[in-house]
Amino acid sequence: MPKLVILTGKNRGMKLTLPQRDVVVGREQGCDITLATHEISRRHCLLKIAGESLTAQDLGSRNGTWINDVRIEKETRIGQGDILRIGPMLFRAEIRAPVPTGTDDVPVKEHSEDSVVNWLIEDDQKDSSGDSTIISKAPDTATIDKPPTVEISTVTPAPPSKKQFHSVAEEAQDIIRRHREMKVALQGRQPE
Amino acid sequence: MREEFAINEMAGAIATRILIVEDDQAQAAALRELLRERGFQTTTAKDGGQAHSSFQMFKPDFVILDLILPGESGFELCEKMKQWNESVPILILSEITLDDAKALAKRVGADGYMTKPYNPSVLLSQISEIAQQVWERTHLKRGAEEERRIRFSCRCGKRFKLSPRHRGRTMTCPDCGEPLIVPFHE
Repeated sequence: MPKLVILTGKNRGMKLTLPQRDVVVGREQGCDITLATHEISRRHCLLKIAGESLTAQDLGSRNGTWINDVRIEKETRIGQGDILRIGPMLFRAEIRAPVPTGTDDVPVKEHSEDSVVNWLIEDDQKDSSGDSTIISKAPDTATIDKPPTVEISTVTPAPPSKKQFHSVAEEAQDIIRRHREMKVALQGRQPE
Repeated sequence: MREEFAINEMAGAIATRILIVEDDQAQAAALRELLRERGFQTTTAKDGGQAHSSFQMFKPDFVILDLILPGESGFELCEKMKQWNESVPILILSEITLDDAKALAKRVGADGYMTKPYNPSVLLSQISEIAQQVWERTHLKRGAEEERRIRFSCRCGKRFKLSPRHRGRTMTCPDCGEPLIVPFHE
């Protein structure tokens, strides 16, 4: 089953197993994956999962959906190791069995389905104070044609704000840099 | 209705001299024109150095401050201005829409935050409203504020109890040397 490895926020390194169905990612309550940040559109993108196939389709989001730093304009296939960027969140796709890379800068923590569920529940109970929070539920029963998956209902990231700054100047520069990056991304979209 | 009018009049009287810190000449000119039409005296500064001089010489009773400036950012400048004179209200007027920017602006003492492009009538009402709030805070509630203390602790466990006057200021923990910002809210 396709998996997404979270590359940002406090849940960096965790793997999410995607269910065998379409998953809507967005800021709006009711999306399958809710990323509660203003950089995410209400309904940002659609992930289609069928067997080992994973595709992404932007739903007219303001900041776009990016695969390997290329903004996607139509439904685009996500391959093994591709980097999916949705707003401030980065994910790496694992389509098949994990391939030992050895060069990855992000240590991937392996989790069985049960442990992921436990992790998600524990995380929910913690006071996450603005950092990535994932609230999840596991399907009560597994069916033959619908293998058991971890179903994600809410992800709340704010990874940049969790950096440790030693001065106002340092924090200010980080904010200005992020603002400029966002501005460039928006300008790049204007000719459409 | 009459009381409301009287309050607005008083707020207008509180803020009459406005320092505009804006490095974009066209934006500064437009803002200056708008404020002068409404009877405010204005002066402009395009960076931290000019803002410092103007703050001391012009003695503004209100500051409109951009965040992205050559050299020192508006955040740092805001923090300094509040140390020079905490009773001068500061309204941030910036194109930065990030929530982190608003949070940091609040921490360094800004009294208001507006994003560009701005609606002139909203800006004018914000000036009036913020001037009123800061005036009340510094004149009417000073006694009560003085009695309160901000309590917070460093990661090393050292506890602090400081006057609200120090809100937003930076300090170093005497025990572990960790840099700290005195929080605005406990």
